[in-house]
Amino acid sequence: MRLTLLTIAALSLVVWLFYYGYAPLSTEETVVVVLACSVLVLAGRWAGRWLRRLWQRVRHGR
Amino acid sequence: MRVVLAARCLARLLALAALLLTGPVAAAAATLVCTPDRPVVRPGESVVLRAWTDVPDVRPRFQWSVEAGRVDGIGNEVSWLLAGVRQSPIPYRAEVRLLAANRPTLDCQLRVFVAPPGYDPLAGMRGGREAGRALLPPGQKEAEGYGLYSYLLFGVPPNAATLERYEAAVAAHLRMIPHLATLDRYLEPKALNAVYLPVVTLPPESSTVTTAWTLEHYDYARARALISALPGTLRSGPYLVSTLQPLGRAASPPQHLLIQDLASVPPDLVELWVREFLNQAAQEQFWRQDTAAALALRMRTTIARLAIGLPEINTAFERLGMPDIPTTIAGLINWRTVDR
Repeated sequence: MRLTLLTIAALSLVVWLFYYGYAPLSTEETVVVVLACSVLVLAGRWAGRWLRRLWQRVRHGR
Repeated sequence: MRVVLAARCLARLLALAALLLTGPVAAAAATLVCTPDRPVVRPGESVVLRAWTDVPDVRPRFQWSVEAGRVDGIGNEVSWLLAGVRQSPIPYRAEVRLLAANRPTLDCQLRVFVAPPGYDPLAGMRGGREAGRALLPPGQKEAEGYGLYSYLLFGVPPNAATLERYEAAVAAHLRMIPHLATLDRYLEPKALNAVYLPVVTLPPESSTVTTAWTLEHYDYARARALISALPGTLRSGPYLVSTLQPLGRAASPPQHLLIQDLASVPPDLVELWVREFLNQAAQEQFWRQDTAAALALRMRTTIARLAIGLPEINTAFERLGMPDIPTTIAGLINWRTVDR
């Protein structure tokens, strides 16, 4: 939980800072950035878990 | 497993042995390096040639010879005088020979191009074409001789939904691009990007050109005629277009073309797109878009477009009695954690 939140916060900050140079982001745009980063991190975690399971299956020949 | 480990150890030992054997030999081999101070010169100019060596001789002798022109000076740094040498697409050759005591002679060759008299070595390093804006009234054609021709085109008159975007495009155009007439005083036409805006009439004074005046007097019919010279279906706009030849005189679709479609760009970000367009149009190969910059700008635009609908989504959530978006995210994270 803590790691997920930290990852989301860090990724959101990086994206937010990157785009702040283009044009300052409004509150709504910041929410969109956080939302997009949350989806990315959660999807990444899910994909990681799925790949690990797949690898274990391949390793054990099942 | 043991076989693999043994093979790895053997490979490492062989690599170490090769390093130990070749190291001293490489250090013992003498080197002679030579270079001109620039690779291209104009006829009649001279170029400085330099040579370096690691031969441990107190006074090594450098013997220079050239294919055309003559050499002035002695030692490892000389001048190659190219007076009377004609321009050629094939480079001229110079050679230096190192004569050192108790050493085999070493040779080094270098080549220099002699360019046409009008060659400007800094031409490719400059910032590119400078954009200047001008109005295009009926009956007047684009002036000839400019390096690039650009247009701010609106496919249709604005409606309530698009007016703000149109205003932002014209405001950015007026603010970011200086008058073409003022730039003409300082720069060659070839170094200019003439950005035209079709209008139905000219203003009484140039100071009266405002966003409101421009939109009021914009020539939508001429804009459609200019758009018809472009490939594809461009219906709404704003569009920023760049070509090498004036669109008004183009018999066929231009070979090299840059089109920025601002039709779905939120008004707040229009200026960013205009800036990106000007940067792109300033490039020598303006039709080749910088993929990284374009992707970053598109992502930024997507964020802004998604954000436009966010308050409505939140309101809809509230009406349905559902938690708002931040609470939903927190719930989702909790659910994923508990699920694990």
